[in-house]
Amino acid sequence: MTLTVNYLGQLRNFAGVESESRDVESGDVMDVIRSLGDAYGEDFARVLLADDGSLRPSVMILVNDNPVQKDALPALNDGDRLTLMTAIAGG
Amino acid sequence: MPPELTSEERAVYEWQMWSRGFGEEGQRRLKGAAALVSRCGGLGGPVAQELAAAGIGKLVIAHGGNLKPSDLNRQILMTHDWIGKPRIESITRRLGELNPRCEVTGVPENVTEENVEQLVEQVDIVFDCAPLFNERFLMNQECVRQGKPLVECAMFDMEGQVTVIIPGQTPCLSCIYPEMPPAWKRQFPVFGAVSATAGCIGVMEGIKILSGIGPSLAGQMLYYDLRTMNMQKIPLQRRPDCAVCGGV
Repeated sequence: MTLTVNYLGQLRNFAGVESESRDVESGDVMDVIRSLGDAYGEDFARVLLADDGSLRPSVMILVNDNPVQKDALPALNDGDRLTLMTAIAGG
Repeated sequence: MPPELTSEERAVYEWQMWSRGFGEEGQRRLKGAAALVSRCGGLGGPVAQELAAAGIGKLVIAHGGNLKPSDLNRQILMTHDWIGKPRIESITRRLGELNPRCEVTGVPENVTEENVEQLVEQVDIVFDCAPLFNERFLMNQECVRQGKPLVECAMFDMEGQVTVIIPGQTPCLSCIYPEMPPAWKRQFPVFGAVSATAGCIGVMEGIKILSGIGPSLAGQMLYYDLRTMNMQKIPLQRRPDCAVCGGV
């Protein structure tokens, strides 16, 4: 299936793009995030995933512009927009 | 009772008092209000400037350190001739020139565990413009403890986020970010116009809260991206197990 993945905050700098269309094998959000971590490297992955591989609490995830609970991640469908957002504090 | 306006103040603020729902009553409430701005650089500078220009009665500004050349692309209350000197002196001087009717208390320190209680006690509302999460979390915790509204303004590169925290009603900062974000660094890409955008949005949220007009961003985060010109409001949810506001 194909997703649109949007990167917000520091993730955008690590990925080098604001948004991209991405073919994925699984509709599982965690599988998608792990595959993105493999593609974009350690700094990118460290923002999203803790050392034990779990999702960091400071990450906000939106599916089709709606925030989702991290302990109840929905299955993704073809054409969905997945937005990954990190905390920022610039002043 | 909010203080009366003088005839001079009516002349200065006349054009904003034409704003629907604000009027002289809103201006009087603003005059009777006090706000803490921490810190007062690329984001907090425009916040302090716009609050002073709009006629807030009192500003408490917390900002430590001496001015560096790299501050000057965005910190609009600083001047080139002040490089190497305390930032807070430039800030208070510029605000005094802008609006001598505004009482400005300059604190030459950033927010710490030692001073946060006393800083928040002095004001009705807090504008969080700090570049470090430890300061942000301290202000959040103290605002929740004292039951005071907190306007959270943040930016990175060409993106910004603004939300309003009303203790006991909305998610607090620790609900949104339950841990210290691991990759955040003190130095970040910034154009002054991007941080000023977050600051100006935050100021209008504060003015609305203080004067009692309009719906605020309470419980929502406004996200903007000046690279793509996308803007959206993201609903936020409280965490019942939040260590800061869970019992409030």
